[in-house]
Amino acid sequence: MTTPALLFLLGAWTFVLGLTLWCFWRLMKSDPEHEKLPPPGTLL
Amino acid sequence: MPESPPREQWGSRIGLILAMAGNAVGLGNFLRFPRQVVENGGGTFMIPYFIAFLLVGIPLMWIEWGVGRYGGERGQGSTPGMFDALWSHPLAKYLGVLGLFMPVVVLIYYCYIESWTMAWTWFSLTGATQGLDQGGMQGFFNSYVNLENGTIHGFWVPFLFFFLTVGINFWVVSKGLTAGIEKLAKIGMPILFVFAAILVVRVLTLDPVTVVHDGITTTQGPMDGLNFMFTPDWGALGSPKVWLAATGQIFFTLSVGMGSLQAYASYLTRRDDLTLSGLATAATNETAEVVLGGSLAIPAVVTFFGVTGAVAVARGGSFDLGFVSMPLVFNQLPGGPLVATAAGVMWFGLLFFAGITSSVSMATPALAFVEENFGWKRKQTAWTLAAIVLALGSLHIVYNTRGFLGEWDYWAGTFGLVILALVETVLFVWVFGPDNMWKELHQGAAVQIPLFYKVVMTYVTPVFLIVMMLWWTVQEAIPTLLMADAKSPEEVSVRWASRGVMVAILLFEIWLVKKAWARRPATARAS
Repeated sequence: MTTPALLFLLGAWTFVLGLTLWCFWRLMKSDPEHEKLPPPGTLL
Repeated sequence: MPESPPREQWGSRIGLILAMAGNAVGLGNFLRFPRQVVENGGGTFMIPYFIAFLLVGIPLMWIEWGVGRYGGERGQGSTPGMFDALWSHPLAKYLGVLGLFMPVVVLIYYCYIESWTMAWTWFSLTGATQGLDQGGMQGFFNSYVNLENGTIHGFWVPFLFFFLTVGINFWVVSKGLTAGIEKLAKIGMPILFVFAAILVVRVLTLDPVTVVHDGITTTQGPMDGLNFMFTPDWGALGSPKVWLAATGQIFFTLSVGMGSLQAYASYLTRRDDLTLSGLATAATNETAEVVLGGSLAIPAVVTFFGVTGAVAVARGGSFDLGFVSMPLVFNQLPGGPLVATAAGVMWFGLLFFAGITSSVSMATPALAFVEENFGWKRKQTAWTLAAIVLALGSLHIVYNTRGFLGEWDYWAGTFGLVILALVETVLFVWVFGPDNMWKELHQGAAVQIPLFYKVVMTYVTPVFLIVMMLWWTVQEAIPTLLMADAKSPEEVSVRWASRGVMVAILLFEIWLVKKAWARRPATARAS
């Protein structure tokens, strides 16, 4: 692989994987009580 | 306004995100994206692509989640009611018809294409495509998609797989939100990611292959495929066509401008986060597209057919890439028929799950609209819509190669998306007001959106959309309207008939909206 192609590939992968992992890390970190989701299937 | 009927809620946040991501991750992630990269400047395509993702994709994702939740709180699961809640004007509900029209029209032909993936999973499992050369594989595909050329498959075979696909789709949606759609996402999305990850590892660890093309012998491996895809063409950065192709790809891949994200978001409550969940949905889709979708088809095809062969395949279209070239690649994998079968089942299986998690979302706005406005039960509504999809989808099977499907794909699946996105952005940001929009997005928010995005959503996103709409109107919509590319008078007739069916669907939905509002008490009919 040429260096420019490798840089674009790594840049693109780092951006999307980094963003995805950050989002799921924050989702796991956020307090579930914050949202108080009812049990599955609950009708409002 | 009558008292809103009880509305279902998502069972869990991970279920919601998987369903939303399933909505976004579709066939385009694995078939359209690699072609777009190759045709629009290789690695440099990723620069406008990510700029469009940040300035159009993420803002529209938040806008659609915001519009959806705002409508859902008022008992509205589809855009006619949502727009009416945002803008107290008689026109608002009719603008919202776009969010009923597009998902229904796209659902009909999307189920047909999705049925190909089910058929090819079966063909892979039974070894029907093994041992075929390039001509044989092309003939096998053409015979399936063109009934007039149906010498290999019986004419009933495409109908059988289409009926099965529609049956599964509507069996899922008839079970409701948590027991149907959310469960499908919880099963289908992990399978999709596992299949894609296994195939990516297999493709990227392939040994280089010596290829003879036009008398020239070259040795190519998967890294040459990635190199081919990502080698930058800096001249492309100055081309408006590339910028609009990148913005268009972001549009298609995130499923914005369709009406289905809003319908899913309508099942959120005011306490539910949408800022982080919306971002997680967009990011998950991008991982599926850039990391997985970008590492499969093109590297595999370059390895076995060389760069010249891959260019020819890419020019032949996404379906040739997915349904002709990939089975040929699998037939040449080391390990024999068993490996070819496993790879084929995983490839078409992942495409099927990508397709079905999207198509069930397209059914949701129409189901929500009928249930909420006419008091129909979920099962009754679902199977009635299934009958409509079967009837109109059969027209696609019969007239596919004469431009019937292309008309629907262009007007509803491409051009219409930008119009709906522009309308909802204007309503949610400008009419509802930037401050109200900002406050609404942050109800129950798990993360604060950077203030910079308020400016982006107020000015940059609408301008991007207007430019895109004008460009597409001049470059594509007018020539398409005039059928400049029609190959025969018969094709012109079929395409006009295709447009006639679309117009009939649109008029029927406008009539339904008018009827629904006439049923509302006078106090709720102020608009």
